[in-house]
This record gives sequence, structure tokens and C-alpha cells, in this order.
Amino acid sequence: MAEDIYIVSSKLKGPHYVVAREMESRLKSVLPSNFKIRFASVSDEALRINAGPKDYILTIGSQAFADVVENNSTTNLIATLIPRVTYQSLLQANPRKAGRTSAVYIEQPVQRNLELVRIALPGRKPGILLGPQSGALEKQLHRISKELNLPLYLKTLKPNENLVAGLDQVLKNCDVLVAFADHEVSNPGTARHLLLTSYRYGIPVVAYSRAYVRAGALMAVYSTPEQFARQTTELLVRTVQDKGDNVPVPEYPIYFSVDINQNVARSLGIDLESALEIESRLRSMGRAGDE
Amino acid sequence: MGGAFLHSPTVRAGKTLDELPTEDVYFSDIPVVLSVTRLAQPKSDVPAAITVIDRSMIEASGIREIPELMRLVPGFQVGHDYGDLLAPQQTPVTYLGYSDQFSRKMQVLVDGRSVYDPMYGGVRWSELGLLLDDIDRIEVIRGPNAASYGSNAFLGVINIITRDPASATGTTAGVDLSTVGKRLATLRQFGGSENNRYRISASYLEDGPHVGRHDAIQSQTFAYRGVIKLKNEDSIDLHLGLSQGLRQLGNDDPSVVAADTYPWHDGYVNNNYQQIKWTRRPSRNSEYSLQLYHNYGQFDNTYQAYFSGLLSASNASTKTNRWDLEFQHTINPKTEWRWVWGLGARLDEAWGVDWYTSNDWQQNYLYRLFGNGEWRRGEKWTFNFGAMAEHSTVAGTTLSPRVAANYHVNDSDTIRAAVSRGYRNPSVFENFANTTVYLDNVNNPPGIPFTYFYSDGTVNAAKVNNYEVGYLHQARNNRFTLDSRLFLMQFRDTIAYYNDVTAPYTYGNGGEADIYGTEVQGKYRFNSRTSVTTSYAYARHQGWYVSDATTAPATTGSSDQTTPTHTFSLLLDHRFKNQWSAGVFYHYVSNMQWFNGTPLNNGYNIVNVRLGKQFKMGSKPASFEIIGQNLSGEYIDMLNEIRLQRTLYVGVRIPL
Repeated sequence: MAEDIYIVSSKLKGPHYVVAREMESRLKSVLPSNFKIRFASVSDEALRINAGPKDYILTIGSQAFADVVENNSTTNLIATLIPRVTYQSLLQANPRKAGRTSAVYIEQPVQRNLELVRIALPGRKPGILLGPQSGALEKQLHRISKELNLPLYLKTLKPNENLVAGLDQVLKNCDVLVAFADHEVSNPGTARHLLLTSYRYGIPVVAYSRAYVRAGALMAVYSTPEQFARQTTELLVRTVQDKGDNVPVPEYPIYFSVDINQNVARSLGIDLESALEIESRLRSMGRAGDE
Repeated sequence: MGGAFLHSPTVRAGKTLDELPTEDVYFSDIPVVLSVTRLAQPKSDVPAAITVIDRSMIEASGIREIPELMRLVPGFQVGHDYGDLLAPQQTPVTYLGYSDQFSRKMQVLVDGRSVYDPMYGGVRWSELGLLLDDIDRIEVIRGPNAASYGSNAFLGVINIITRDPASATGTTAGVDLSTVGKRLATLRQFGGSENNRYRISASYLEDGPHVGRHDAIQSQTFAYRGVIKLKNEDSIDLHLGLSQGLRQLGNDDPSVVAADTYPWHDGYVNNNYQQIKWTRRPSRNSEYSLQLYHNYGQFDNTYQAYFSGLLSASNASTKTNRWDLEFQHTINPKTEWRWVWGLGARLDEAWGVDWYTSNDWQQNYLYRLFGNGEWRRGEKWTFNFGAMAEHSTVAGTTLSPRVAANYHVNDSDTIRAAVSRGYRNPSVFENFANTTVYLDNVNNPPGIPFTYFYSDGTVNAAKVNNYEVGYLHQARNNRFTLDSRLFLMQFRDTIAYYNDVTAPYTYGNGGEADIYGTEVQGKYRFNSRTSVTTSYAYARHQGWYVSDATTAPATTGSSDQTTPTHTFSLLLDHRFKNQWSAGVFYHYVSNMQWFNGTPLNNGYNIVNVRLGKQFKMGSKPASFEIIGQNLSGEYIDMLNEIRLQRTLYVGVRIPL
């Protein structure tokens, strides 16, 4: 019986496109031929994909997931390139009636960022500045700090509190600034101020994307579109091959890369091993995060 | 691949996605901020001995006069001078002594603008219009650095960097009071939009007098700094400021009758500056800048005094202008190479009717071309080589080269060796002095002319050769740094004045000195709350200077006593948990004597203890501090007549 896999993407270009293409070619080589991979045509009506409980919809990006989850409550649904908070909120607002649902989150497990700091910058105390809406992340950080026995300086801005003053306070009390993607604090709009100020304090920044490292962060751990494609394909295939009704648990990225800005490292007098060495040490630290 | 993707329309899926984070932040492009040209050389590659005084050191030290902050730098001495015929009260800052009240051998910059006085040299610290609260950090290079900073970077360079307008927001009012007469009110504001930030500061100050003196000052200042961000990380940095006020002058109660008096009277100062710097960053690897600035200084001083028993009226007023234009280009063609080169032109001019026996402005034009290359060879070696060529219309052409090699023994340790030469061009006064006072001109005009300062215009640039070997240790975890060096500086053709046929103070090249020794600075951070910083210099001086050229041979004196053998500082900084902080500062200078100064046979000690608290008013930060200054007792650092007292100092900052 033919089973359909629909790939729905938030964007037609960039990393979303890369993920889609990668997944398509991987799926074609792995799945039996009775699976048909479709890309629904570009139109509003195509949202009402005629997919049932035996079919699979794969969404790439938050917007794609939001649209599909609102319009189809019975098919199997795998989301990728989506933050955990967004996946869980949208799922809660649109409960599924049938089919299995899972995801590969976009953000690295918090543990991995802190382990990166510990491996590459031993002895340095991480400082973290969070926006007012980051309550869940704050709890996670406190817990992992205890588990890893790695003291942190953590500050959460109150709703009217000034970013500049908050950042100054964190920088005065830490040896490395760990920036999590947070819309109020560490988004590309504030990157300039964050990088210049941290540099002025002589404090390196560990960020969450390759672009940030190019801009001046000391290093970052992130996953490439190819790595997301690989993991999402594996998740999808496991789901397809599981004849029972087991719901695969949503995952944090398993495959990741580390990038280092050697110019910044040199300027700050920080001696680092190569990105590849740090990557392999980080990998040997253990499985991908938790859920 | 067939078909196209399904592209989700931008119709929102309910209200929720608006408020939820998306994946965009992980894939957005971010323009390069810390480009290679913007990144500072790592400490281990720097070809010179550098000390950085940051805000937390300034705060903990309890020092609240800007020139006195230099006591935190190894080998630096600060003196307090009474005003005299030439200038109002000065606070000279020198390195390893060898100076009089005008400290002409030190280059001082504020945000890249030289604030060295063109007429006499030295810095009129109280006329800069600079507030201590506006300082972000001070970078001091110990030793000559003419290859990068030009003539007058002779003994060292002090670069004061003010707080970036983007570094804060809001308005703060401050009041400082001390038991020795200081009353300071300040108002500061940071503001602006994302691409156009500014910082403005205004202050009113009354201070002094020193015990038994008539040297109180009163001052109003205003300063503006704006940074306008253009596209692609290009920017314009604009600075404007003014400072004016009253200076009490004179040594003698007007009722005193004596052969030579300088009676009490009031003088006025009036200074302003403008500076604009345009920086263009066309790529990650290159940067251009063009800077223009202007400093204006005015000192109004007219008085009547007794010279050799005769009542004489003088107009000792002066005006100075400095104009400077500079272009600089930095490139990083490959990772191992960085080049900086540039050219500049400057006009220094001074006016003073009595001082130059002329109503004309005395002018010195200076043109310069400079370059510095940094070459990183492999993991172990960094080489720096550079030079500055300067042509001055009064002193001809000089070339100041520097070569340095840094060897990185391992991650933590670096050995450095450097050789350099510097020149100091004569100041406008040293070149054009022709000071005439008309004795008895009050009762018997026009009076008898008497020339007391004179220069025939043939004064050459003074020269220094510098040799140093340094060792730097930076612990991997950043808890401990140690920076030390061994040095020899050979000064030749030192510019000085001495008694000669033409005048009792005639300028010429009359002196030489060798100063050699060792310095060390260290910082240890016990944890994130406590740190200790220390600096020590040991120096020996062998030198002579001409005091009288009318004898044959010329009479000389030894200048050995102008350099103190020991200079030591210790700073302890501790932050308590509930926003209290404490600092203890100790400073010791062993016996020395400034030129024209009192012999300080036992040296002097300074102890400051500070307690501060930060708190919130509403959601904004506020603070107060209480400081005990000079707790070890009254001391003298230059002249018997200026005695610094034990002082209680209180400061409050509140947000508006």
C-alpha cells in the first residue's frame, strides 16, 4: 500500500531547503519503494493535504509545523528545525486525534553548551543573561549546573530591566559569557552590543551559531542543515519501521559541529585546541541531551 | 526533483506563533563585529610594557583626582605644584622621575587626542573637562613609543579611554565632598537611538586651597561624545568639550613687602576642544580612519609684583592652539601579518605678549609619516618593527624606529626584547621664549626691560635610546598575571634652561642621563570577588645637567636625585555579597627631588581605604562611597609648600 510522505517547509531557500533536499535523497535511498515522497504544491489549499493515519508529514521550520498542526490532526507528524518550547506549545494548542508525533529540536541540549565550556575553557566560570520569558531555561541551567558541579553566574532580566546594565553585571561576575538564543537578549540584533561589550571586558562569548562565531564569538556548538537532515531521516525511518504504536520521543540534536574564531582566541590570549579535537572530546562525553 | 515545496503562507496559525520563538535566530546572518583590525594585539604579542587601569581598579583605589590614578602604574610618580608666573597649579605625572612641574616627556591622549600643552608641555589636568566617572580605562605604555605615538612619547604614553556612549543608558547625578575643600556636582547622561548614541557630562567644581596656600580653583565643564554608526561597521566618533573657571594664584599676602613677591590674585582659564574621527571598515581585514581635532587653551593672568624691589606690572596671559589631522590605515593581508601606517600634520601655536615679547602667534608645524608591521612567525615568534619620521619647522627631521621580538615559550610565558629610539621636539616656549618683564613700569613707565626666559631657536630635539627585556606570565585560568622588565634608557641632548649671557633662564640642550632598572606588575585574583594588584619599580639614575653656561667650563649638577630608587603600589579589591565593596590602596616612593622641587629625603607613603555600596532606586543603579585618603598622615610629594592632608571623601550617585 502506498504511503505518502509530505515534506512541508517554512521557506523555499536557505537552510530549510538544504534540509529538505538532503532528507529527500536520504529517504529515497532508505525507504522501500512503496513510499512516495511528495512536496505539496504551493497553494493555500495544499494545506489541506489529504493525509491519513498511515501517512507522514514532515515539517521543516516553526511556521510549517504551525500550519500543519492546525489543519491536520490525524496523520503522523515529524517536526524539525523547531524550538522545543514552540513545538510543545503548538502541540498543546492543537491536540492530535490520531497518528504519532515527534520532533528534532533546533537547540542544542543545554548540557552540551556547558560541557563545551568546561572542556575548552577549564576553570572559567560561565555567566548567562536570560530574558524575562526564559523561566524553563533558567530551571534547566540550575539543575545542570548542580549535576555537572559547574558553578554559574545566572541573571534573568526582569520585565523592565535594562539589557545594558544587566549584561554589565553578568560580565563583571563571570569568566565566559554563554549566549543562548533568546529573543530578548541574545538575538542577532543585540549581537553587536554583546560582542563589543564582552570584548571590552576581555570575556569570551560562547554562542549558538556559526554566524555568531564569524561575527566575533569565541566558539559555538551547532548543528548544520545536513546534520539535522540526517537525524530527522533516522527518526522518520525508525517511526516508519516501528510496526507497533510506540511514539518516538522528541530529540535534541545528536550530530553537531564546533566552530572556533582563532583570531578572537588569540586576541584574548586564550589557547584552544582545534575545533575538531574539541568536537571529538565533546562527543565522547555522552549521549544527546534529555527529555 | 519534481514539484516545488509547499511554502507555508505567512498567514499566522492562530496568535500563538507570534509569541513563540522560531528557528530564524539560529540561521540569521550576523555582520562581523570583531574584525581582525578591531581586535587588539594579545598581551603576549605586544612589543612594549603596558599597564591597564580599569574601572574596578579606579574604584577600589579611592583615588579621585585623575592624574593621581597614575600611581597605580609601576614606576610612576605624581607631584603637586603651586602655580607660579608661568602657569596655574599643576599636577605633573612622570615616569622614573627626571622631570619638573611641566612633565614634558610624557605623551597623554584622551580617546586618541593629544592633550599635551603645546606651550610648556605637560598636561593641564584640571582644564581637560574630563570627569573621572567618564573614564572607562587608562592604557599606559612604559618607555618610549615614538614609533607609534610620535615625539613626546618620550618617557611613556598615557591613553585615557572614555566610556563608549553605547555602554550605558540613563541619567545620573553625583555629588562629591571632601574635608579639604572639594565640592563637585556632576550630571551625566547616556542616550540616543540604536545607530546614534551620545554621552554628555556637565560638572561644577570648587576645590582647595591647600593648607596655607592661596590656590583654590573653581571650574565648570561640559563634554559631549557621540558615536554614529554608519553601515558596514563604519562609524563617526565626535567629541566636544569645554572647561573654564577661576584659579587663585600667587604666593604672598599682598601686604607683604619684599624684594621679590608674587602676590595673591585671581586668574582665569578657558579651554575647549573638538574632535571628529571617521572610521571605515571596508572588509574584515582592513580599516581606514581619518581624524581631525583642535584644542584651545587660554589663561588670563595679569598682576603687579615686586621684582628686585621694583613694582612691575605683567601680562602673563597665554593662549594656545593645536590642530591635528591624521589618516591611518590598518590591514591584515594574511593571518601572520598586520600593517598599520599613516600620515599626519599638526600645528602648535602659542600667544603670550610677555612671554614672547610679541603680539604674534609663535608657530610650529609638524608633519609625520609612520608605519608598524607585526609578523607572527609560526607559533613561537612575533616580530614588530616600525618607525615614525617627523619633520618640524623648528627642529628639523627626526626618525624614531623600534624593533621588538616576542618569544612564546609556552601557553603562559612570553619573553620580549625591544630596542627603540625616540625624540622630543622642543615645545613652543622652549623654541621661541623671549620673556621680558619691565621693572618699575608702574611708577616709572615704560620701565627697565629685563629678559629672563630666552631661546635662540636653535634648540634641537632631545633624544632617548631604549633597551628592554621583558617577561610576561599569564596563567591559563586567568587568575594570575605577572609582567616584568629590565630596562636601560639613555637620554641625550636633554632640553633644559640654565643661566646664560642672554638671560638667567636660557633654553638649550644641556643634559644627559642613563636611567636603568627593573619593574614588575602582578595581579592575582583569589576568586570572582577578591583580587590584589601590585606594582614595583627599582631604578638608578646617572645624569648631569647644565646650570650655568656663563662659566668656563659650564657649571653642571647631578640629576641622579630626580629619579626615586623605589616606587611601589599595592591595591586590594574585595566585593562583599550584598553589593558592598572595599578597597585598600598603598603607595610608597623613596627619596627623590623633582627639578625645582624640595628634596624628599624620606620619600612618602599614601594609604587610602574605601568602602562603597551599590543599591537600587526604583530599578536603576545608585551608589555611595566613603573614602579615607592619605590615612598614614600628611605627606609632601614635590614641594614643601604643598602638603597633602589626611582627608575624608564622600561620593553619591543617584539615577534621575
